[in-house]
Amino acid sequence: MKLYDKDKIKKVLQEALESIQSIDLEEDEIVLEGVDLEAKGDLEFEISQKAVSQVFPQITEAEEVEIEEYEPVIKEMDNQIQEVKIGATSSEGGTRKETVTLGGEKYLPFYPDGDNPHNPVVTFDTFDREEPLPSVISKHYEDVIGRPSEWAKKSVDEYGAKMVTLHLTSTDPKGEDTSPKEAAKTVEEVLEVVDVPLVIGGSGNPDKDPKVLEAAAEAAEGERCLLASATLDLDWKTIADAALEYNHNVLAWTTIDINLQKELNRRLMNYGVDRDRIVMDPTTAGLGYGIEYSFSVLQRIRISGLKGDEELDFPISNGVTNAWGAREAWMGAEIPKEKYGEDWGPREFRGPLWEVFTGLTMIMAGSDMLMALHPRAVMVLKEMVKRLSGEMDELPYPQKWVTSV
Amino acid sequence: MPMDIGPMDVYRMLPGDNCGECGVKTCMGFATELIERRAEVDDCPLMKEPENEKQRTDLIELLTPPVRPVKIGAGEKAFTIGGEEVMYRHEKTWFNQVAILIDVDDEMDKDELVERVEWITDYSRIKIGETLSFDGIAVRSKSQDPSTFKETVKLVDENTDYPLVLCSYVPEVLKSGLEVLDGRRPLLYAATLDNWEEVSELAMENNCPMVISSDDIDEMVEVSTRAMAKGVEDDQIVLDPLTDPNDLRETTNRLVKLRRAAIEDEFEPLRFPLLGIPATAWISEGNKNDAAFIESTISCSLIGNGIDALIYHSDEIWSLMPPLVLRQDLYQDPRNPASVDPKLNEVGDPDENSPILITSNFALTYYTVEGDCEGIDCYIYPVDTEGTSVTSAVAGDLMTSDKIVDAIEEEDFEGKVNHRTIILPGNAAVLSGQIEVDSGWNVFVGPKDSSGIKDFLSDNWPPKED
Repeated sequence: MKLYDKDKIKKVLQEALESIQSIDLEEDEIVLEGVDLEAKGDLEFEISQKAVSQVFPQITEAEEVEIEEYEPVIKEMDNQIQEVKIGATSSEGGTRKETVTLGGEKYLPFYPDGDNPHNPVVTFDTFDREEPLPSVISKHYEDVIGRPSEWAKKSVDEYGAKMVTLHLTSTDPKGEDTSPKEAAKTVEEVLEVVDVPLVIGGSGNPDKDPKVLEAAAEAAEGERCLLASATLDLDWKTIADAALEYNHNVLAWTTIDINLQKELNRRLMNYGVDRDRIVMDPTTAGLGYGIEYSFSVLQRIRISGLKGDEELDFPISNGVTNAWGAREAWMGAEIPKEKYGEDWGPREFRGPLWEVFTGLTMIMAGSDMLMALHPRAVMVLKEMVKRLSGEMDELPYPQKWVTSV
Repeated sequence: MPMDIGPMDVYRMLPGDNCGECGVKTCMGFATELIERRAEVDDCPLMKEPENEKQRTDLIELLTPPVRPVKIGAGEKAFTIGGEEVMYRHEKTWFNQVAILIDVDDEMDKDELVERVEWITDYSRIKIGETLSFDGIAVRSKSQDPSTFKETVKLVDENTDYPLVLCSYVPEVLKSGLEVLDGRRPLLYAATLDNWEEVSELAMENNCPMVISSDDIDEMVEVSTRAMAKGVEDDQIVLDPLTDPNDLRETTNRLVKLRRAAIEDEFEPLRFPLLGIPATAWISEGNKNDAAFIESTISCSLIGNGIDALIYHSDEIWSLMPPLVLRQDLYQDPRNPASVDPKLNEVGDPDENSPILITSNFALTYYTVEGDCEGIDCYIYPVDTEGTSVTSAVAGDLMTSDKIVDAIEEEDFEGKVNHRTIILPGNAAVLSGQIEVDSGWNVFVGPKDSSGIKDFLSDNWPPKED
């Protein structure tokens, strides 16, 4: 800072004040617009903040706002979620072309704290019988319904499935009552036709499922499938034994209860099921039908797991297809109008969107794997995972929504 | 209010006279009411006296949730966003439902505009005994022309009593919109680093809230600090961390960082509710249905992470119903399990030969059972189990034979059906004998899981004559 005679500065400033239009304060510089100081005799000068506040106390006071700095919280968690690999390649004793790894999270989903190693995956549901499905879904599978291996193949070839779930619902004693041996044959056929990892489900009959899954496990020996499901109210030991003997994983299914989930996981572990073979299904309540219970149970399970609860730190699977139980999903457009006097719009969009909401809400709460059904729902869910994991380029200037939408 | 504030902390700041003027007998009781947000500090007449001014302000500050509540609009349809205390709903509850707003713009055909405004205003649907509806209308200035905007805002205002959001980055445009909205307390969108001074002045002059929009948290801190130094009040700020429909990772990160800043750090310049704009999905989507689908889906991810308000562009009900339902679900208070009224409900079109099923009034149980009965004409009676599941209710004496016997009488089962048989849930089998003795009705023990109801009925219904 050059030094000038105080009186001279004062005089110059006084004259200058009369012609001031506006004053900008930037850093330690004063810009006097409309003032031609040069005309006063080649005068260049800088003025300290202190000097400014002496001359213009009222202005500097208002401008001197202290901006506090904010350092966003970044959280390191104590534990990492167990990784579980579904499928086995030829070098691993199976015949799958690729495998899918679930789990491995260190952070809550898509949080600023850090990247998780694997994105959530979607597995396509297929059924071994003529499953009664809402027509909005079945129309996509008309050509393959009742033919599970063709169905599975279509899911992979046409819809790009990275994993397929084969529900052996025909084994239901109250339905066709297919024998475990026949069901096992279906498993073999599907494994023959597709080379993606397989989830194998029963019919939900607690007496028969263990036998069906045991036979299926044997037929799929070495393929490291996911056997669905072991629950507390059936003979889970048979399923656990089958998983260990024939190299598979176990889906531990409980009903929206964190303590029951802990108990089942504990029993499986104590029985000798390796940690890297356990996936949890804490039950998916669909949108509008209790989804908040599933959302919070999932979130609690995942947070507990990340904090170090070794009875809950397993990957989570969700049966998103449950969303279709909601009438808002399957009902044809004409019914709500007649029945409730409401317009719900075409179910071609409404149905899959219902499934997407159910699935995405589970993903946001910590899900690793979604079992889904409608091709459009699966497509959008995959797409959303891409967007959420930052795999899509940012949109320049989203502010323009105000004028250009 | 931080999570760990208890009634004692509040009690200490109250007069302690136990005068009962507030409607609660004791100051300790009043303290609990304040913490539970069932009362306000000014309900206490003593606190309003001049000598208690400091205590009053301190207490109000103590009770202010980490995310400051901001009221949008005026009158009956005004709504409050923010006011949140926890990151995750299971830690306590999420308090103020995410607001769902739909846009219109000032280049729309007038008839189309009015029709759209009326549709938004009139839409309502009853679900689980609650009315689902939208909360407000965002008026965008596409023209960026003050007089065009003014005319549009006027027309919108004439056709709705919903709160409005005025959207433009040009202060002059916002100003002209405000001129026709006396006392309506619209939300101004948006103040940025470039225009915050003028927008803040508008907010102050018109006593309305404003949005600070930026994808840079430092910038947000700067604008909110300067705006408040200028005189914008702390109940007048909403933050828009920008919704990038493609890079949702960054969008989510900003959302989580800002919520943590407010809830966990109580960092003053960021203790404000957050606005999400799924409408940005329409910027690059050409196909209308695809855009509506993606817009809705994006909002799902934001709702799951606790956003406070959302602006949509779609007016397709199929794309707006899911967010309306999701917010209803996620904003249920987990501390009080949702329950349904204990009354005889009809599913489908039941007649005198239809079965009567008993279950609990825990909403989740009830609606699961109802869903599993889809396609069957029947009656369902949910016993008042205080919102607990069948298994817990039987164990805890909340589902008893007495309650069921009373219901048979009070709900006039005899007048509804010709048979004399009720179906109990498998998990309540233990009650069956006593019910038969006390009521004279037959009891069928149904499946433990309601997914087996259809099979059960096809095997057992109608009951065989003895």
